[in-house]
Amino acid sequence: MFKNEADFEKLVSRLHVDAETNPAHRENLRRQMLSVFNKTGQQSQKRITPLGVFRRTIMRSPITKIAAAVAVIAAVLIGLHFAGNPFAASVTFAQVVQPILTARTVSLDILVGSQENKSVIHDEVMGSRIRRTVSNVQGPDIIIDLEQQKMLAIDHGKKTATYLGLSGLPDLKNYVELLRETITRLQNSANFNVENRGSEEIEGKTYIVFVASGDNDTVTVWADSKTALPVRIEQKTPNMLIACDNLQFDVAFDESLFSMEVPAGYVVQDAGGIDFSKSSESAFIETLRIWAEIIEDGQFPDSINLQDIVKIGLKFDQGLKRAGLTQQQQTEVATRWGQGLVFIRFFKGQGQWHYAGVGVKLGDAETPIFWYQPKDSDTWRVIYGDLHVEDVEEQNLPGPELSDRQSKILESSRQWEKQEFVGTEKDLWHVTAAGEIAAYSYMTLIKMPQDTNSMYIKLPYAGAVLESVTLNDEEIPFTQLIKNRYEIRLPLDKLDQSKMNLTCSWVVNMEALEKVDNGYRVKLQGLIPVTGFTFTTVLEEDCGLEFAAEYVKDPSVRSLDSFTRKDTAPPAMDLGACVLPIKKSD
Amino acid sequence: MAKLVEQAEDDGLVLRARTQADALGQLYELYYERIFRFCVHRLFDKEIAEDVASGVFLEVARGIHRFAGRTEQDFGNWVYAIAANQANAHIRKTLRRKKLLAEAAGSVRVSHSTDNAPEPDWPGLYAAILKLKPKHQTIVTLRFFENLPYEQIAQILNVKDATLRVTVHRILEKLRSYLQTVKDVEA
Repeated sequence: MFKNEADFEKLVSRLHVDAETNPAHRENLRRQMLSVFNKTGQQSQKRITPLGVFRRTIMRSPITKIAAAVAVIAAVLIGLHFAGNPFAASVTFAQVVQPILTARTVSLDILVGSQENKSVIHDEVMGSRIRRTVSNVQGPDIIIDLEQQKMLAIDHGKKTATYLGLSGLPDLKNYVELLRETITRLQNSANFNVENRGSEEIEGKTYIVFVASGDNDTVTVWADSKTALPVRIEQKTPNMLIACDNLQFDVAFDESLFSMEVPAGYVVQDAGGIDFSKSSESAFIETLRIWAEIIEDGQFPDSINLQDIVKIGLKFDQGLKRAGLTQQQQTEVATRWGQGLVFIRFFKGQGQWHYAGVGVKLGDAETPIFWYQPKDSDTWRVIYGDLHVEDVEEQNLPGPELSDRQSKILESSRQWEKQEFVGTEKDLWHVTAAGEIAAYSYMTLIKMPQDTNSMYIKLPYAGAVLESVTLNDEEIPFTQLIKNRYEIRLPLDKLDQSKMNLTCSWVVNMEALEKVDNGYRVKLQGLIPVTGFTFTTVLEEDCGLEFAAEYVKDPSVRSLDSFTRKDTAPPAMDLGACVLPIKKSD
Repeated sequence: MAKLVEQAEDDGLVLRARTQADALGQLYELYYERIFRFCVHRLFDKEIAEDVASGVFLEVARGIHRFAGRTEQDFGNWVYAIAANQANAHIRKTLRRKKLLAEAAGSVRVSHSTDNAPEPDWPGLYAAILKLKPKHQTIVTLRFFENLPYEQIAQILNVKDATLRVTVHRILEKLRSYLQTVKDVEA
């Protein structure tokens, strides 16, 4: 029996295991590996991430990693510094906003994104300190000290703490202070318009509603009709919707919850800092690189707006895990990513910047993804998909088609988030001898908007190709936006509300499916948000495949109903994944 | 700023390997033997070890394009982590524990001790190791069969160095307890 570690080491050292390598295996594996490497490189366009599995894992396991929390919270902090907006003054309005001006402590929820798909930031404000949580970031407590310009992420479960510096911002303010300042400034201005919309009843309670507007922004305040206290404030800008909800004033918080001190015995990490005064193109390029390489698995994000940044936490965490970085490296990457965001949030160039990276792969030297005009410059700086930068004359800037495509991509995401088109869907897959799946998605539309006939759909696989679309058996046109996203133009003159049957026929190669032990993993995804979904597979006679015996006792059975869901509420596109239990015929 | 040793030691080979086959080939030559040996020590069957090592390097080939590490050490830690996961997955799938034990017993030769120490009961020891959690089994292999330093094992398994040392201490206590129980029963 061994006594200690050294003893155990000696014992193991006396065990000799034959671990001689086999040169033939070594050489074969090398060839095989390099072949896979080359194929993966060439076919990266076709490579898919098992999103169904990925998302379910996320749902079960909220973020606990400090790095992702640091990234999201810092991004939110950067973003919200631009949320200050014009308020207008009137006697009644002034009465309503009075508590914002005088409260010592405030508790509020900040909602970013559309009503259907919003992220919630909960802030508790005491003096210069904010205790913040974000709905999709769980685990560490986040305390931001605006006076010390420091953020502390502390995980009491794991006894770890991370400090992040927030330097270089001359006038760091929390959201409530921003509101105060804006209100005070604007109460002296006569240029803004305030409209009293009267009372509005929400869930049995009556609120007085004021709408203040100026430039491109609109601010709406809901105040309790009895107490005149504001309970909700909503700001709309062209690209963003931010709302403060559940406002409470002079809440008796426990001061210790706002402490920036780390208890003894905790492991403390210094994550460096974000310097808000350092706004450089190179730092922004590094942010784009991290975004594409780590967060989005090889391609640039659909958009770089605040509402997308706030939702990024889950993706960020998974990306860091995929990248195989140490905890310290993860935090460092998160900080670098946040630093680069300063460039667009504190944009110092002329006019506006333009982003068109949706669907562009990292390394694409031909496609422009971002362009802007530096201050006092006659030319524009254009960043391409391989992240090289060129100085370009105005007449040679990317054409409007890129901006148009970008806006359509954003519109498609918005349409799905807002569930403008809703239906039920039956997917029927035919597995063919050519190793392809010929899929038919039979949809019945049960809801569609009044103001558009552009319906966007998303096929479940990046390599899937839409072949035809019919409405009530009549073929209708469609255009591809990127990869598996398409725009279908519904013919208004042929729409019959009592009969809205749409069939999308599409193909995908079997290789796009993830192989698992007992068959193939299949993404269960509606082409639009659906309330019901069924999935059936048919194996064509000569396809060389059959269903596994444990699922169908009779091998001659060629059709299998794998999934049925009814009454999904709210309507959803992603319904998870299932296994298609097929194997090669004996 | 956060301390990032890796930035100072930036290694072009790993960065090149993301896009260049010859660079990946060089990394393969550096790591094939180490990973194969780790698999043998984890699974005690050369054929299975070859299969698992194949899985490891094919996963490397598929994932190197988006690997964010920069140094050879980052790469090594990543490859070992993949190998540890794949070996654990194989053991989980191998329901016939007796088969594993038999293979392990037959694959090991015990050298004679010069200090009259008792002969190690290898089959008994391996049976005890198999009773540990998969992660703890990996730690035993990396620490005592591969002789990797604590610091590197901590990075491979993404745990703190101090935690790892405590874990090793507890693992050895468990092994002692298992072996003692068997000894008592046999007596």
